[in-house]
This record gives sequence, C-alpha cells and structure tokens, in this order.
Amino acid sequence: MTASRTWTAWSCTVRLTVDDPAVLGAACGELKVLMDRVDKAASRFRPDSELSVVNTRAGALVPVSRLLVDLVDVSLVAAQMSGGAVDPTVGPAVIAAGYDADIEAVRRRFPQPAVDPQPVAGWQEVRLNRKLALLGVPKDCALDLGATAKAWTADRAANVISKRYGCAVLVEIGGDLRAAGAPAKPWVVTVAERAGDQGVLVTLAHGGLTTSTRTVRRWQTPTGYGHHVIDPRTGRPADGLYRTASVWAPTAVRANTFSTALIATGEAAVGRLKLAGHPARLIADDGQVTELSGWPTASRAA
Amino acid sequence: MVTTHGSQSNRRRWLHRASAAAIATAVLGVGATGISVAVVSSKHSGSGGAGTTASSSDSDSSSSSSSSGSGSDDSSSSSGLGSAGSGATSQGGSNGS
Repeated sequence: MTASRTWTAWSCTVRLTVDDPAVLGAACGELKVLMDRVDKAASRFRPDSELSVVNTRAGALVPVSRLLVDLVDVSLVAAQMSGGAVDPTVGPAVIAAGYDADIEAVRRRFPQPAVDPQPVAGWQEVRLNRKLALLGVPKDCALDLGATAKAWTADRAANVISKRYGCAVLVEIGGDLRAAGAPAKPWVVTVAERAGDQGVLVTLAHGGLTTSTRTVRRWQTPTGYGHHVIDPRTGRPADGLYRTASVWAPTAVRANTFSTALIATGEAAVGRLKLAGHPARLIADDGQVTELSGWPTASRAA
Repeated sequence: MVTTHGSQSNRRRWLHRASAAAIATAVLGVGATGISVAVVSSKHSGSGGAGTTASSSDSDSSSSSSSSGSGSDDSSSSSGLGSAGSGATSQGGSNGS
C-alpha cells in the first residue's frame, strides 16, 4: 500500500510517495526541511541566501556552508560530464533573458525586452575549495544552480528517507524524479511535457527520471516567449532541435544533466547521451518523438 | 647502606613483571600491525584501487571535487525503466519544468 502527498514549492509541484503510509508524515517533514535548507543556501531569488552573497561578492573567495559546497560541487561535475552544456555560470545570461525573479513574478509583469546576451564565464572559472569551504566566482559572473539543485535534493531526500524509514520512496520535485528503496512493484509514472498534458506511462524501479523542457518555465516578451534554458555557447535561450527531453539515469542529477544538456545544446549532446547509454525520449520542435537507448514501449496515460 | 633481603626480592619481582609486560606489549603491537596491514592489503586488492574522487576544476589546484552528491549510489547501472500496462494507475509524474 502506498501513500502520497503533494504540495507546491520552488514554483513547482512537489510530490512524495512511500510504500509505508505510517511514515508519510515524517518523510514529508524530512523533505521540507531539506528543501528549506537548500533554498537558504542556493536560491538565486533570496538576497539572504549564501549563493546571493557569493554572487554579490564576485571576485572574492567567500566562506560557505558544506551544503552549498556540495551543491556547487555537483553543478561542476554536471558541467564536466556534459562537456560544458550544463554550466552553473549562466547566471548573468539567465537574468539578461528576463528571468531575474521568481517565475510567477516574471510572468505577471509587463513584457520586458531581453537585453543583449551575456557571455558565459565558464564553469572552469569557479573557485571551490572543498576542504576550507570557500567559494568564489569571477567578477561580472553569477552562479545559477537551478539546473542541478532540484535533482540533487530529490536524490538526497530519497536516499535519506529510504534508509531512515526502511521504505521504498519516490520523490518528485518539478519534473525531477528519484526512486530509492525496493518497492514491491515498480512505480508507475507519467512522462509528459507539461503537467496535465497527456503523457506516456512507464515503470520506474530505481534511479532518476527527469524531464527538461523549454515549453513550461517561460514568459512573454515583446517579440515572443523567453525561457530559462541557456545555451552556454551563445549566452542566449537555447533554440536547438529539441524542446523537451526525458532521461533515465542511476541518479536524478545524472538524468537531469543529460536532459538539460539536450535542451541547451540540442544534437551536440546526443553523442554523450548515446555513449552513456541512458534511455531517453526526445521531442523535437515539430513534435516528432525520438526514443533512444532502450526507452521502453510506453502506454498512453489516461 | 643496608639493603634487606625482602626489598631485593621485591625489586627482582618488579623487574620480572616489567620486562614481561614490555615483551607482551611488543608482541601484541607487532601482531596488531601485521593484522592491520593484512586487512588494508586485502581491501585494496578487493576494490581494485579505484578512487571515486574527481577534480571538477583542473585549473585550481586548491579545489577538489567529489561526485558524492550525484553518484554516491550509482550501484545499479541497469535501466530502472520498464513498460507499463495501459490500465496502470500513475503514481508520479516527470513533467517538464
């Protein structure tokens, strides 16, 4: 028997499902506490977050918490793994594209013209001293951990909850899913471009499943729609071949790294994905669906 | 100075005990070290000596990086995905965000 609870945080849907209803309340508490800690450490929209302090003091090494060290560390590993397609130094480019506040605030305001694209400093320029917990970015650079922080949180929460309560758990944070523990039957999940859309059904026994898209977190501009996935090569919102990518990998961070890279750099990321052998489902701009590396035959969700 | 027979005997007994204790300590120390070396050696040979630490920034010698957050439990590389029957009820969703 499973039990589930859904709420909204970080401008997205959060859902926690466990196979032991008795631990649902405590497990939700664990997830909320972790998300609160991550928010205080790494939110780009909170002036009091550690990340905001680091971005404000660009050019200097700033003492930070172990949590932020871990989050930045993971973002750098993702950058390395993706060949720079998922780069945490896209902060100024995201702001230039118009995503300079919470997405709901950006959507509500009068359409703003996008300013000139900002060059991306490059993840290699980030200074992270893990032992001393010091973090620094170059002047005129800012970190945006939006690509990896949600997935990292889903991974961490699923592992901690599963081990602490001895149950199987499915953590979902805005499209980033992570299953941990040993469920009696694999979880049945819907994969869709947008919440509420008709998607496809697959089963998930373990690991991470993430969907990245440029069709959801977007906003009106005088010339059309802007979105938040930046191509680090141009500093502009990505306009590659694929509008949506779903990827399975052993962890949500790894899956998200590939799904984000596919949206950010399009075909350039397909080679790395095939090399990794992770199942993926890609939707091109014209709606054509491509399934790779053993993506299962899926049923249409009701 | 006069030394009594009893105190000489005590001193001899004390020396015997001290030397026995020293020998025992040395033997135990050597034994424990040998066992430790054996355990460490067997662990290394079993793990293949592969480290999990990967530097994320080659240009910064002071920085170090481990993939603990992303790959700490990559024990299963086989796909966790499968086909779902058309009548199955969804328990979660991976929607674009």
